[in-house]
Amino acid sequence: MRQRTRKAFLGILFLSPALVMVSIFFLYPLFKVVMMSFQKWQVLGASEFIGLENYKEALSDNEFWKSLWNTTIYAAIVTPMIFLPAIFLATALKKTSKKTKFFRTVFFLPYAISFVAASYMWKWIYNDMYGLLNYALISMNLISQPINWLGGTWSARVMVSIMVAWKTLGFSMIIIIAGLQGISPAIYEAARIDGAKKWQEFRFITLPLLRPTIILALIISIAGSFKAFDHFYIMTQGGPLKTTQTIVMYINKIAFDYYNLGLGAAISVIFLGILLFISYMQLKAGGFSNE
Amino acid sequence: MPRKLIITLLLSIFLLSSLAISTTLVIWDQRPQTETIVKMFNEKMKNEGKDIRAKLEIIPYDQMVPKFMAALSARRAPDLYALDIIQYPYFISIGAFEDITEWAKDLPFFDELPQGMMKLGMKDGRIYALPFQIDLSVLLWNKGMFKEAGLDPEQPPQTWYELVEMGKKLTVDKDGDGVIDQWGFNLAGGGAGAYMFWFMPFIWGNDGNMFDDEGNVVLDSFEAEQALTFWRDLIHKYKIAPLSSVQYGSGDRYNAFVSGRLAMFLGGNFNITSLRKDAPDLDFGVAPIPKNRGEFATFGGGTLLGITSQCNDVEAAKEYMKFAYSEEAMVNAYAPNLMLLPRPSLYNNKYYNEIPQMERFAEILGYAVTPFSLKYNEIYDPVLYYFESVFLGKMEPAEAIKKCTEEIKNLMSK
Amino acid sequence: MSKTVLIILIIASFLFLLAIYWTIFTSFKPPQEVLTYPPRFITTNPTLMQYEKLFTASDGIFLRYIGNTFLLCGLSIALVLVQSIFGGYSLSKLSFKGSNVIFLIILSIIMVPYQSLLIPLYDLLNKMGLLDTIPGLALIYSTFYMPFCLFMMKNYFSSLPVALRESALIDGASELKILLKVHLPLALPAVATTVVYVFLQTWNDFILSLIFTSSSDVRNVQVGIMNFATSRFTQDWGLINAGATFSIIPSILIFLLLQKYYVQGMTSGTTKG
Repeated sequence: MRQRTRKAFLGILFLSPALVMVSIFFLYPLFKVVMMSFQKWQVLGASEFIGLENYKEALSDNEFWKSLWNTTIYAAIVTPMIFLPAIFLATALKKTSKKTKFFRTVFFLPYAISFVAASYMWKWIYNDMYGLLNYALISMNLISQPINWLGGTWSARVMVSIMVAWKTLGFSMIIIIAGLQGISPAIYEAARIDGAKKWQEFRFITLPLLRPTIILALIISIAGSFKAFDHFYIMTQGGPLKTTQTIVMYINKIAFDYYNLGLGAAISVIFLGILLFISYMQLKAGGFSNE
Repeated sequence: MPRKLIITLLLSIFLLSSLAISTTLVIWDQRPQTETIVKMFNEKMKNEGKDIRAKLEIIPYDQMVPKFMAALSARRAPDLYALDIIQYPYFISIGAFEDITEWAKDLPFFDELPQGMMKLGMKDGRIYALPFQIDLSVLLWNKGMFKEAGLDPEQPPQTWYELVEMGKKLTVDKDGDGVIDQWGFNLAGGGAGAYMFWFMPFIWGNDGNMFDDEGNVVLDSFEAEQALTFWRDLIHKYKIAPLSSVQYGSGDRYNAFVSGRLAMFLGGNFNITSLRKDAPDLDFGVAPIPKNRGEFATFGGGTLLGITSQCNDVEAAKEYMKFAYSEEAMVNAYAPNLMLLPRPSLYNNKYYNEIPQMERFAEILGYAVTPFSLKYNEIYDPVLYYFESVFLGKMEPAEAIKKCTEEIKNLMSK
Repeated sequence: MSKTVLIILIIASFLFLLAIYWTIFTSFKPPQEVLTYPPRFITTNPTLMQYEKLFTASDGIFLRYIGNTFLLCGLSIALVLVQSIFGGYSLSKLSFKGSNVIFLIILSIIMVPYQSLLIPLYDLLNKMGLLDTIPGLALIYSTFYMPFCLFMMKNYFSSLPVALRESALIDGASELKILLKVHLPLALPAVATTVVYVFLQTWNDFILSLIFTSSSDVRNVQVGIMNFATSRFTQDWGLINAGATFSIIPSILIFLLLQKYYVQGMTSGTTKG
């Protein structure tokens, strides 16, 4: 009896550092942001309770919907850019050997560097006056005039996505490799004996068995896309004409440029809801495949 | 036991005496050069036996507003703040700054401070801050390129017409490969701040304005529309500026000018020091921004210096402020870096006199205009959106002006 | 693998590394050779000028940024290790009635992005007087980087034989000793993963440092690069590329040296349990 209570006591004690941190810096802010979303905040003076006003303002704000749209479009563009190569590379590199280890490292390497460094790296390549990309394309006679890649709405979205894909596909690749390695070779052998071709193997064995892994990688990747801030802040500042301004950039603008903390809190809560909803939907989609 | 007692006694005497070093003034500023003033001030206080010391905290540009807001709400605001001029109307309206009217008017140099900028530190006739560090928007031109194009290198364009005519001669495809290597002009972009700083002078120079003296929005005018059309035409009709320059930030245009790809450059006094360092062989001139049917105008930017309402020792703060405006402080701290002083009487100093390009600034300071708005940050949005739409050729100037004015009026009424 | 696949991989690798190479190469060019078109591929005089500028500009402010960031990393790593090692052990070996609930709460942090909590966190730090301080920032980092590491430590401890703890208990050892002297030495791979993970996350952070800090005694390298790049008057690409190159060195080094742990940890953390 005493052993058990002593064990429980120690259990709580050992967990307390994490618990304290979580309570102060996670649970409390989570509670606070909801509270703040129902208030109007002044710089000097008390905050007043205004019910759903902030939410009404957020949902009727054009720029809110624009930012949400920009973020969604970006996620839609970048996700296939990440996953198609990632799946291809994972399939090619799933067996562990010196060769594959080398390639895996190369493709994972950009994941280790910061978004800031990557953004400036690629911004320099995309530069319209001195950039490598324009030079390469003009030399190969594919274009005749230098293009301001980050200056047009869709070209900015695509070019930033290319950078993000370059930077993050290694991560998805590694997760998929782990998933592939978890598929027993016996299944493939059985299929081969039955006369299945390579693409049939891929479509009827690999993909279905890989579903949970891909779903997991997708959740992480798409959630990451919705949180986009660093690269757009640095590469386009949300332009041109605010078409690359993401939701987090908008929250940052409302809260820290205009200091409208109540409205910012409401948008943050909506944003949180959207993210949780996306993850939930994807988990559900993954769940169906297991039947 | 007795030893402990002695130590405690000594410690308390030490602590009590340190209380006598009463005032530490916390000063916020963006420019590291202010450190010189702070050091000089502390020396002076020491020599005069006064227990006042100043401490400088450098605030990066992006934190200028949020950090101040956070400090105000936590009652930890600094004693003095060299805040960007356009932010003052809002902060004065919420009571963040101290009324210094009588004291300011008695200052010996009060009358020479630029009045256009002084307005932003005032409310209902009361003064809360004084013009401090000045930034002015100007046109810089590459004299060598002018010579090559057969133009008089000492005659920059003074009117819109001249800008276009000269620009055409200065836009060249040097190696005949179909790609223009030297542009006559670049638009200014990279944010609404750029439009305010460099495009508004075109509206002002055309006798138009964004706000009138009472603060009403008067952007919806033929003069403003004409200016928008003019900028758009520089790219699409006269072809003396590249389309990509709509998004060119200050740095991009600077790079183009320095690397010999741009003949006329919208810049400011802050470019002069770096130009002399990065391109010592580039002979350039400084001129006011070309005008049309109005008078020369430049954006009066920079900072005002004010004492915050959370300052505990206003007399000490005033002492610092008076010193900061003295000839010895200003000339030694700011003039070596060619920063513009708010006192034209000090422009005849040894640092400025070495640089020929500094000559015109005393004159240009006289053209300074600064827009007054309580919601300056918020109006950035419609300004950026609608102006950029026009320059990219995506919206007609008439429509843009109308919609922009409407949105600004909306924002002002909230 | 087939020849075609190999060729594709080689070309892809080349293109992948080209971006990194180009930045590093530009950082060693003198200023006149940076702003050139066509871009120069061979430099006649490679130089350290850009780095000199990087480390001496504004009174060596960049060096301060570097120091700040290392401090932040160290503090965050320490905080995360304490929470994860003790917490992971507790959940693995000392589970009690509420353990599961607490575990779920901690895991839920992974689902909630800190980007949605910027405002209350800002207000909290401000009220605690920790805004614009290194400890303040480290506390936030460690809260949000901890769940993954705690999860990993828990799994790792659980994969060790139960007998380890039981026999040590019989020998009369205290729980603390069992954790630190028996289990921890065997869990070093997980610890290594934690260190790499927290280091990279902290070193690479941008938005939290941007919003929660302002003074040069606290701001980190990433924000420092941005400051240099967006100085209102110039955009010195030589300097920016030098800054970017410098910033990726610790990331790449730590990754290459410890990639075994990092990659392993990432995959086991996501596929196990």
